[in-house]
Amino acid sequence: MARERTVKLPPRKRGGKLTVRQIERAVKKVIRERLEREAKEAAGQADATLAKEK
Amino acid sequence: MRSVHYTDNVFINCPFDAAYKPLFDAMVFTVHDCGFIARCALEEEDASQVRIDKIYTIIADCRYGIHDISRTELDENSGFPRFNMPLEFGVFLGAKKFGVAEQKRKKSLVLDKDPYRYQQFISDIAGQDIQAHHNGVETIVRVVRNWRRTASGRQTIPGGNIIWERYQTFLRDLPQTTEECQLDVEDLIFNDYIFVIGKWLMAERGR
Repeated sequence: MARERTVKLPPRKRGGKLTVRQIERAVKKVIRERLEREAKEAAGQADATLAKEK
Repeated sequence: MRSVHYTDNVFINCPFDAAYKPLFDAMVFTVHDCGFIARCALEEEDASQVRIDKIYTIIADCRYGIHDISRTELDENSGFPRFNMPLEFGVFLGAKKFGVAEQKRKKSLVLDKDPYRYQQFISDIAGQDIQAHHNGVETIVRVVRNWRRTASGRQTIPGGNIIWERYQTFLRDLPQTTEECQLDVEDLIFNDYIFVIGKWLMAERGR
């Protein structure tokens, strides 16, 4: 008799509630976006200083 | 039975009013950034349990306690002082004095707005670790941090400047973080607040 194939079910839906994993990803995203913003601002300031010196 | 986190738990015994909230929020963040867990009466929403019983349970679970007695002053409307904080501090001291061995290892930090004001209304606490915060948020961060370092003996606790800067960064990130977590920053309950702090610190340290 052929073996029955097991099918991996998708994770159980939890309504609109976020999972802890999703929250951790969301927090990381906020920090990453802030760091990118700060890096851009720092680069902008460095450019402005360079332009002044020229 | 005691909590598995007994030696990490810090009982926060302070006012819960709007004027005190900036100090409370900073204190809770500092406790967590030092590697400990803030516990207070706000964590229990079970209306069936008598308030003082909730407080007994939390105190029994905490090796450390921060007691702010700065609101022991006459209320403009009632003409009476708020006595909940001195009462809960007394329960904490009672547990330390008469409790089993682990309860005897309890340690307290007493906070007031001015250094020697307590001598006028609760002079029996002389000899405890009493510090003044002058209602300053940055001061409370440093005082709590330094006490955590001394009382716990842990060498891994970050410096006061580091925690203060990290707290300001956390506050800048908080509105977006709560939004991403489907929470309301204006209506953040204690359990959500400490959850967000924990996740934020974990992500910030891991970057």
